[in-house]
Amino acid sequence: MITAELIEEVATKLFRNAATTLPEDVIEKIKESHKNEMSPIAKAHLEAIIKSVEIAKKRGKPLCQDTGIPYFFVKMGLSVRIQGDLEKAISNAVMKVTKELPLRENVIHPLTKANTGTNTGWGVPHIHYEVDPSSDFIEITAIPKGFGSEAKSSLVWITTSHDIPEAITRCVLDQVVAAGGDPCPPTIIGVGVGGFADTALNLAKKALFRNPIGSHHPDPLVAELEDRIFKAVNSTGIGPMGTGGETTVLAVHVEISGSHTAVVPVGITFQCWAARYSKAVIYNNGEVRYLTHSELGEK
Amino acid sequence: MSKEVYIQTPVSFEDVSSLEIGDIVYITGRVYTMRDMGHERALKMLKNKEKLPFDLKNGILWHCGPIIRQKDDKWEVVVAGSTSSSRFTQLTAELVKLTGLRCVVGKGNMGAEMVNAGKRYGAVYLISTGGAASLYANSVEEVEEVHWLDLGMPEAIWVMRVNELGPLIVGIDTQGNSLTNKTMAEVTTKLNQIARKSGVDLSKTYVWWPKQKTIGSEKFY
Repeated sequence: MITAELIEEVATKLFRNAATTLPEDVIEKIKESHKNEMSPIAKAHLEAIIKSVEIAKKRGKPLCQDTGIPYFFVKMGLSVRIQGDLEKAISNAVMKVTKELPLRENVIHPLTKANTGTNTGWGVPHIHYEVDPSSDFIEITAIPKGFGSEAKSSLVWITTSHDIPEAITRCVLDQVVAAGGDPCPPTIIGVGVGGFADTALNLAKKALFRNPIGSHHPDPLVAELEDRIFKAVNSTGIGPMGTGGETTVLAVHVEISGSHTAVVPVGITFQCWAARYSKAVIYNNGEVRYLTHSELGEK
Repeated sequence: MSKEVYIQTPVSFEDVSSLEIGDIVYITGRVYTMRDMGHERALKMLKNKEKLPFDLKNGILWHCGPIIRQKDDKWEVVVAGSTSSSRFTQLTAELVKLTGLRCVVGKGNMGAEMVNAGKRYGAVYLISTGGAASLYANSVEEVEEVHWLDLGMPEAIWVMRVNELGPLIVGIDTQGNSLTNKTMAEVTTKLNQIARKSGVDLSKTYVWWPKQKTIGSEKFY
């Protein structure tokens, strides 16, 4: 049995940690790209990023002032029993971190613009559930999702008379060029192919947080498409912050789903270099394992 | 080749007119933060011939919505970094004209109105590294004043004293040059080659919906 108190404790740790500390694989990827850059301007941006990441971690302060809107992936094992209210536990965690760290108060009513000041309300924090019938744990991923990159997301419908990987490559290339420096490159690109409109965008969002960053989809056809898009967008020279350079994206992750015979929806999402997220699993016996940040240890 | 330049406020025309796109700048002195609602209010007041409660002449505006908390009687900057400046192209250009602002700090692209205002009134746009808010916050020595706190913490005008705030890349200079425009022009000339290499046909219509011209920039179709 997992108590709501334990979920709140873990979610608080995760959300606080996500806002302040980049996952190790992401910072390694940024350091790698810094080595590859030749232009002094691109190097200056990447150096500023690397320094800023270190300062934020050391001081335990948010990495970026846009601490986004709270988004949680929750994967539920069906043999898990929860005592208490999981959603309230996560909501409490968000309010606590917002007040204590503090985070910027970003959540407003979409029509009146009223701000609760707690980063909760009207369905926020957003929780995306998945069910895993075979497991005896819940997996929680906490994401303070910044909106400079989120607001560059899009959905396109490709007709099946085309070569689909070719069409997808074109569409992503277009989006990256049109977005330029606005989504804070180097970005991670998430692409969701197939399913319905919402499936495609959901897969695209999930793809952004693939761990480790830059790892390939197990299907070789999809992996090949990831490589093809990666090479195409990184040869544009848009570079960090859109001021020129070799590193426009850190990684391209593609996820797929079965699709209609006439048209294929393609969701395209961006994540800025500050790919902040933190993940843990809580077992039915109360054991906790933190998966993305070794400094959080085990409980 | 870009040069490193250290600037102090108040900023003179001579200070900014020697800057070229790609130069790396560090700022010491006073900066004023401003976002969407601050622009709206400032411009409304100026159009009604009202005086702003702060003086932007020869000053530096920062497109920034910081996280700030009150500690005892003082304001403490938790983190402060730039927000996307493309939202303010027209608004900030208008402010440059009406106030005599010399430097604008932000991130990403600023459009043609700002390029024109920079040239006409002698102002520059400086591009910071988006997301590196902890680094920039480290350069803030003190919050001197706050105005319009009724707009909320991110939207208020925070007057901060900074020491070597940077690195900031000159994105728009006083000669009418834009670094991001230059970069994107180079990208555009390479597009055919990139498309060929990645097996993509730029003349094809791949997308059924939305109608293709609405995706991305029309230039590329």
